[in-house]
Amino acid sequence: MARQALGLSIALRISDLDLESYLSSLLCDLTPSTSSGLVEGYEIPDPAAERVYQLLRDGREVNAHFRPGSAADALLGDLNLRAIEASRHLLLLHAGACAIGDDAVVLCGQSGSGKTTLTAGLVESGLDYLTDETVALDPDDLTIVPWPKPLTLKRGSWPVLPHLAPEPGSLAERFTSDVWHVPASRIRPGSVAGPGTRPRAVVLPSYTPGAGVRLEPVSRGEAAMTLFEQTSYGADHGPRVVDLLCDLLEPCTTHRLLFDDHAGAVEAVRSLLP
Amino acid sequence: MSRPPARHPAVHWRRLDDETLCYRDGALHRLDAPTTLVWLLLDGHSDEPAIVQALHEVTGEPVPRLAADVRAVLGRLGELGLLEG
Repeated sequence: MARQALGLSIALRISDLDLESYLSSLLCDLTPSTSSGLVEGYEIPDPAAERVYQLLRDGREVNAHFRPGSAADALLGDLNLRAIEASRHLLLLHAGACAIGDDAVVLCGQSGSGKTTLTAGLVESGLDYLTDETVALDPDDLTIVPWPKPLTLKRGSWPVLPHLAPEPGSLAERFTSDVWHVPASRIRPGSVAGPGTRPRAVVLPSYTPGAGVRLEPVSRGEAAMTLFEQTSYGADHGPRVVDLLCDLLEPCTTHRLLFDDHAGAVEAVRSLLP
Repeated sequence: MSRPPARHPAVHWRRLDDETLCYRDGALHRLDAPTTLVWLLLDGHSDEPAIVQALHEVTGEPVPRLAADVRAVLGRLGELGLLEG
């Protein structure tokens, strides 16, 4: 079955049935493909005697791995990049996002700023999941196009969210290597947001040891600069990117969040939405 | 005699609260509130003394100080390629 990954339709063909089952479980939150166009096929053939797991996209090798879990990581990483590339007509922000009803909070910052950890906490607290990686906005109405990839939890997040570790004896435990991939529906069933949400709060998080929880207002101009720096393919929009960012930010409150207290940070961000 | 300072026509700009975002050639610049006051007066007709006088009427700040500030702001805007000429 083909699935929709932002502007990309994908299909998997994995020879190892356990690996296929693992990857399918990770992509369970992606909707069935709605596109009648091209479907991009990912394939991990039988490693055969060499025990090398090749990752192929549309028949061409992307890379090769000695461990099946690494091949799965590579597939998810490549899928994310290709999904973003196929959605360049959208305004793409390197950010996480969650929503209540039609109101979304966007968490925008560099890698390591705590976006995914906060996003996971917000989903646990009852917000619906939009993405932990790329907020895709329709330039015509600035609604968010959901990109419900599995959350990618790096080692730094593991002590904060130990209950999201792969279950002992599971396929996830067997195939996990450097990161935990966690579908939002595993964190909280039914937690994936639909289309049509709009940003109402923008938060610039920064994991800062010793900070506790410091949520401070910043000007919309400062927020705009950070969003611009974290834009993918922003140049595709040319000067219009200024209008898109202003239109996006004008109905939003804008904040900087310095934190090392996960629960407190989740509560602080949660309080920004009605 | 130099021409009055003017915004470069290639700059796409927009007010955002009391600040301004300026885009040119793939780069985005944020003008803070005081710089925005100067930016809004760069109509290509008002020379530097006229800009200083207009700011003095709005802010009440001393003219010599405003003159130095405006000179610095124009220098910086020029370095960023946001001014004509």
